[in-house]
Amino acid sequence: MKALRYMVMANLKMTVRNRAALFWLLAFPVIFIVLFGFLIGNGDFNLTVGVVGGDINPTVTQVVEQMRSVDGFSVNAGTEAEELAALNEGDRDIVIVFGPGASPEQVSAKIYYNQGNPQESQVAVAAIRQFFSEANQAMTDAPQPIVATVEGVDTENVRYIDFLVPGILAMSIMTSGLMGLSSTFVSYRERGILRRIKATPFSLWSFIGARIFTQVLIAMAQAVIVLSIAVLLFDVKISGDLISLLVMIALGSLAFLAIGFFVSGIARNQEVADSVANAISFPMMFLGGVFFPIELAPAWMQPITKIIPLTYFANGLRDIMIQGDTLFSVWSSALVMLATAAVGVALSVRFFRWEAQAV
Amino acid sequence: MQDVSTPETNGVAVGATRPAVIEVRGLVKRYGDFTAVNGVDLTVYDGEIFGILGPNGAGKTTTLEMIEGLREPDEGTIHVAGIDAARNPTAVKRVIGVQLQSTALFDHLTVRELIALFAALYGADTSKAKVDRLVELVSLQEKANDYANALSGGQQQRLSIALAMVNDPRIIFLDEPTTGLDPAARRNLWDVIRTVRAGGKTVVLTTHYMEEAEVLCDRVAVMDQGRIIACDTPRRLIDQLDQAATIRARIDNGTVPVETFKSLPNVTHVAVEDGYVELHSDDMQVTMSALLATAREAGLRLDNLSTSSATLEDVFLALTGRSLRE
Repeated sequence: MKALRYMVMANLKMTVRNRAALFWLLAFPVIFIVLFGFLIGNGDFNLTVGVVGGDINPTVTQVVEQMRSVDGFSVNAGTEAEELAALNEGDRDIVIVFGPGASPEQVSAKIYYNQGNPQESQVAVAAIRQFFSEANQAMTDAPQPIVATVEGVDTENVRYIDFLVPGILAMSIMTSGLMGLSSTFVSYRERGILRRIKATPFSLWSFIGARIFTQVLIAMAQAVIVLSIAVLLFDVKISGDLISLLVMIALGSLAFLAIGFFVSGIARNQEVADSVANAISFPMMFLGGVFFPIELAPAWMQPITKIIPLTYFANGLRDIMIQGDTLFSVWSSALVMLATAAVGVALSVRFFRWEAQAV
Repeated sequence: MQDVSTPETNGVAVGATRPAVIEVRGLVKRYGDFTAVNGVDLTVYDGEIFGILGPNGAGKTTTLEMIEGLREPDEGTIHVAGIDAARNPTAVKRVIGVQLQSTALFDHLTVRELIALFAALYGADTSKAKVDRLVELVSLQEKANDYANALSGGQQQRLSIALAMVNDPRIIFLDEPTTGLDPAARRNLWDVIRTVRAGGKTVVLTTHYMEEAEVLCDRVAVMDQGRIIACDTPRRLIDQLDQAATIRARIDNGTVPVETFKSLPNVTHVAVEDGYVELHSDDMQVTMSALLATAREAGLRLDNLSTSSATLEDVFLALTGRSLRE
C-alpha cells in the first residue's frame, strides 16, 4: 500500500509540475468553453417555433401550451404551407408538424429547421425533442403519445452553452486519458523507465494501477475545475447529483485510459503513439456529439456516431448535468464506458511490452 | 573459469575464504540465430567489486540482466544470495540493487523524491534520515532538491547508484556506470563505488574501459562474443602475459610500411593511427632495441617515444587477437 501511495503521489506531482500537461488538462477545455460560449452567445435561446396540427389530440395541445409558457419560445400556429413558408423566409427557427402516428395511440412529429443557421437550429431541434420526451415522461401511465428520441437538452432554459459544457468536458477527459496514458507509457518504455520499474519488486499491475488511479483522480479534479469555471462564467446549471456526475466522469476516464494504454502497447515510439491517439480522438471529437447533437449529423454518419464511445460519455454527462438524471438512469452510457474499459484493458494486456524492442 | 584462492586485489582480500554470493552456471541466451550469451559460468564472492570487461556487444549487459531477473535465460542456472533466480525472481530483486545502462528517470521529481519513491517501491524505509544518508553517500547534497532531469550525466549516474541502494541490498549491479562521463566524473564515481563496497556490499559492474576494470575491480571476467574468456584479478591476468608492453612513438618524417614494424622481433600487434605507431610486444627490451636500430637505418625520427607495461587491453588482445576498442 505504501508503494502504491508513493507512486500515486509521484504521478500527481509529475502532472502538476508539467506545464504542457496542465495546459491540456485545464486551459484547453476552458478556452474551448469560453470561446464557444462568447462566440455563440450565452444568452437564452430565443426560438420562434411554428406549430402545425397542435390540436390533434389533448396531449399535443398540452405540450404546445407548455412550450408557450417557457421563456425563449415564441410559438405560432398555422397551416403547414404558411409555416414552412415562414421558415424559408427566416421568420421561424423551427416548424413542428404533428400528424397521426404509426398506431392509433401515437402521434408523429416532423421537425423542420432552418438549415441556413444550423448551429442554433440543431440545438433547437434537440430542445424540441426534449420537450416531447418530458411530455411523455410526465404521462408515464399512458401509452407514449409522441414518438421522439430523448436528447439531453434542458427544456426550461435551453442554451447552447449548457449543451456544450458537458461535451467539452467529455472531450477533454477523453483527450487527457488517451494522450496522457499512451504518450506517457511509450516514453517510459523508450527511455527505459519501465525496465527500471521491472527491476524492482513493485509489480507491473501495481505500477499501471497507480497510473490509472492517478489519471482518474486528475480527471475528476479537471472536471471540478472546468465545471466551476463554466458555472462562474456562464451560470451553467448542474441539475444532477455530483456523485453520479463524478462516477460517470471516472467511468469515462477509465474507458479512454484503457484505449490509451492499448495505443501505448501497439505504438513503436512516441510519435506513432501521438498520431494514433490523434487519429482516434479527432473523429470522436467531431462525431461524438461534442459540439452539436448527433441526431443532426447526416444520415450516413449516424451509424458511426453510435459506435463511438465518446457519444455515450458525452450523452451520459449531459443527461446527468442537464436533465438531472442519476447514474442509474444513464446506465446504458455507464455500461458502454465499462465495456470499453474492459476491452481496452484486455487488448492492452495482450500488447503490453516492457521494452522498446527485443535486442 | 578458474576460481581464485588467495588473490592480490585492489584493496580487499577476496577468495575462497569468502562465500560466493552469485553463482551462474552454463548461462545461454539466444535471439533468433544470434547467441548473445553462450555458456557463461561466473562466481562472485561476497564483498568484492567484480567487473565484466568486454567490447560492446560482447554480451555483458545481457548476462547482467539475466542475473537481475530482467531477462529469462534460455539455458543455465543462476543463484543470487542462495536464491534460484528462475524460480523466485522477485525474491532476488529484493536483495539486489540495480542500475541499468540507461539512466532515464521520471521527469519533474527531485533527487530526494526519487530516492523516497524507489525506497517505497521496495517496501523499504522512506524516512528523511535514510534519504539524507543516501544523498550524502553519492555526494548530491547540493542537488538534493533539484529535478533529476536537470542533473549532469555524472550526477545522474550517482543518483542511480543511490536508487540502487534504497533497499540496502547485498549486491549492487552497475551496467556501464561510467560510460559517457568525463575523466573527473568517472574518478568521482569510482570513489562512490568504493564507498559502497566499503559499506559491505558486493558490486558487480560491466565496463568496456580496461582502465576502470584494472583500478576499480578486485576481479575481472573478460568477455567476448558471449563467452567468458578469462577471469581473475587484474594483476594476475596481466602477469600471465609475461613481459608484455606497449611502445608508442610519433614518426615525423616519412612513412614506413606496417610490415616493417610487424617484422620486428617479439611484436604481437601493430596499430598505426594519426602518424603514431603503437607496438605491442611480449619482450619490450628486444623490440625496443630493434625499433631504434630500424629507425636509425631508415633515417626515421621517432618523437614522443613512450613505453607502458601491459594492461588489460593487452590481455584482451592476447586472448582474442583484437583490440577492445575495435
